[in-house]
Amino acid sequence: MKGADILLKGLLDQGVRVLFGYPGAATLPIYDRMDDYPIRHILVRHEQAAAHMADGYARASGEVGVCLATSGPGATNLVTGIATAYLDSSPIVAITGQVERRFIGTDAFQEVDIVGITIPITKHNQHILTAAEITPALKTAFLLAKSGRPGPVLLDIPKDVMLEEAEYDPDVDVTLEGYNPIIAGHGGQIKKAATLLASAKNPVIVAGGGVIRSGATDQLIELAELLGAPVMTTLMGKSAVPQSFKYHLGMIGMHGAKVAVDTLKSADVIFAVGARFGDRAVLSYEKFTDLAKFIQIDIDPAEIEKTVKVDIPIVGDAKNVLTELIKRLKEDGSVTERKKKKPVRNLETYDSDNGMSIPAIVEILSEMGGDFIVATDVGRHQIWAAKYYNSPGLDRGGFITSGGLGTMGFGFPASMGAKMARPEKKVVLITGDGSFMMNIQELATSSHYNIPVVVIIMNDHHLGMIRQVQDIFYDGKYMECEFPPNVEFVDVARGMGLDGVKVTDIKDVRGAIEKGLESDSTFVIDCIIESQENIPYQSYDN
Amino acid sequence: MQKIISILVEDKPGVLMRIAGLFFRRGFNIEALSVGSTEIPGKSRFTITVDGDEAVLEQVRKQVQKLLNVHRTAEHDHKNSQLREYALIKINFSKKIKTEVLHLVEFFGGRVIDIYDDVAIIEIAEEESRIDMLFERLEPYEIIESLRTGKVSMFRGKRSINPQR
Repeated sequence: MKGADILLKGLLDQGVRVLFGYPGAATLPIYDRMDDYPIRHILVRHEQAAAHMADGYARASGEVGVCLATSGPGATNLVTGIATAYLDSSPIVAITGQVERRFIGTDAFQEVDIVGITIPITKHNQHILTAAEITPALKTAFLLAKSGRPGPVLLDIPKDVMLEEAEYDPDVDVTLEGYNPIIAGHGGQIKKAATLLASAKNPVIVAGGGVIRSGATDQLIELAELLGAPVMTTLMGKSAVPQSFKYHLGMIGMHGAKVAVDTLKSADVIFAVGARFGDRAVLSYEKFTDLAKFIQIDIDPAEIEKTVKVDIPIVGDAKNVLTELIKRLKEDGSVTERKKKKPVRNLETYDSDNGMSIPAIVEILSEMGGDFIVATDVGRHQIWAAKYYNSPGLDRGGFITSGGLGTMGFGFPASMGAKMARPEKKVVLITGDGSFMMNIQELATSSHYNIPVVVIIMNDHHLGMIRQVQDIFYDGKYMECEFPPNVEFVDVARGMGLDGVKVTDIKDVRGAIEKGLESDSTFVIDCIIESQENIPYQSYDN
Repeated sequence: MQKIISILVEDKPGVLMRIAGLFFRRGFNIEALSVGSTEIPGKSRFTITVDGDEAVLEQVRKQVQKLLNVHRTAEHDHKNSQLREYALIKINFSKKIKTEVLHLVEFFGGRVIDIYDDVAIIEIAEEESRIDMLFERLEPYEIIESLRTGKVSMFRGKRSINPQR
């Protein structure tokens, strides 16, 4: 069997049914064999979008998303998407073509050392040198991508290896000696955590993306109820707990909810579950560290105490550790006798002035209360969406955003990937005019394959977040943050076989979204924003 | 603070780049690095000497441990390990001074391994401080060329980096 067949058969055996890719000379042997396998290929219009689509697919389904690019520029175009997945622990496998083995190292046409380039942004990567290596490499890649702390894995395959003959052995054993993710938490540490939580006066729980990855929502809710502890999330943990949960206080961090940050300030124990204490979430490491005693659960030992001194570190899978912890707390009994505080429920809402503002539009979307997946791009709209999008229908993993890398252009392709993964769900993208423009070409892909997404563009003709930062930290000197109003997004959509509507009055927003949700294809709502309202910053100062 | 870290790895291309990249990303200058094969087939051992903040170094060690090709990491110090370095020193060995040089070399535990055209090559495998001292004492005799391998180290007693032991 040829290397290309081994690869495609291997992908099929891993459960892969869709590939996001773009062909090139170095990957043509794969494309040549593709129609013999029941794998759907989505021909993107830019490889970066293929990586984001695979990422969106992975986030929405919990399965591994796969993208495929040719050597050289095709491979480097994946880099931003791979880095995005890396920072947010999203399981993707990227396959890149490489020049023939005899040309490697000669600066041949479209040769690039993509393995070298992606070492710092992959969980692992591998240059495959023979067709016989493909199966073990592929099995290893999938195992690594989805187990432990998930993340991207890249496999680089020279063109002639795709044509080389080898045996296909699906049962080939891959034992990874140096890889043993710790799933169960240490009993002694869990016991210490239980004791500390039981004696805490004001414990709070901070839920991060790890809760979603491990499927620990039920355990988190049970623990919060047991302790009577408020739950707040990081940006990545936004849909870790239902928005309607009585102890849920919203998001912490630089642009978080005031009530969440105030509650953190009065806590005596901060219990982080699957949250890595990223700089945007903790505002200031010095002040944050002084707040309380810390307990941290993370599946990645390197995340424990990376930034903040932790009193009780627990390495393990959130769901396992929480289950054990709850058991112990119940057995102990002291926590159930403690007087629990009433849940504080003043989730932030926007004081609407009826004008066309981003938060007002996000509130309208929330009120519509649909059971849909919401994705965002990066910028002011992202933060407003994270703060105010508060639909009871927002289920676990139903909020998809580029948290760690903050990748503009992520939202639209990721939405399409999410729609491919969960076709039964409506997918709504909240984006900005700057972000949407960064992968606008994918309207053609959406139109080609009919992958419907409701695109809400918060069009303020600005790089809104940059404008805000210049406003506050650069004395209002606005440099290169304004776009002339020279793009008619609805016309662009129409030019790519889709439809949309431009909205200039807040009264028309709901109708436009309803129309988008009813549409069978991607529908672009170009909301012309009037206000340049700044998002408030939070601080630990009193 | 100086740390000596041993890393047991799969002997595969690119492993050095992966490890060095993690130190580089955190702004550490690797003071010394040596790599070689071990008693385990297919496995090599790195010894890295690095100077830096302890908490950040611990973080780097954890990140290194995450690499798929890395099987074990361990930290050495004077108490738990024998720390050695190897040096080659090419030195003027003319008749006038050769007795003095020879005397010094023997005193510090080195030996002459080559003599050619009134020039000798000296080798020494010793603790870093003793090699430092030898260099200091040989300085007046015209060192022509020298190299040092950086530290290698091994735990005292039964403790081993080999996970099978």
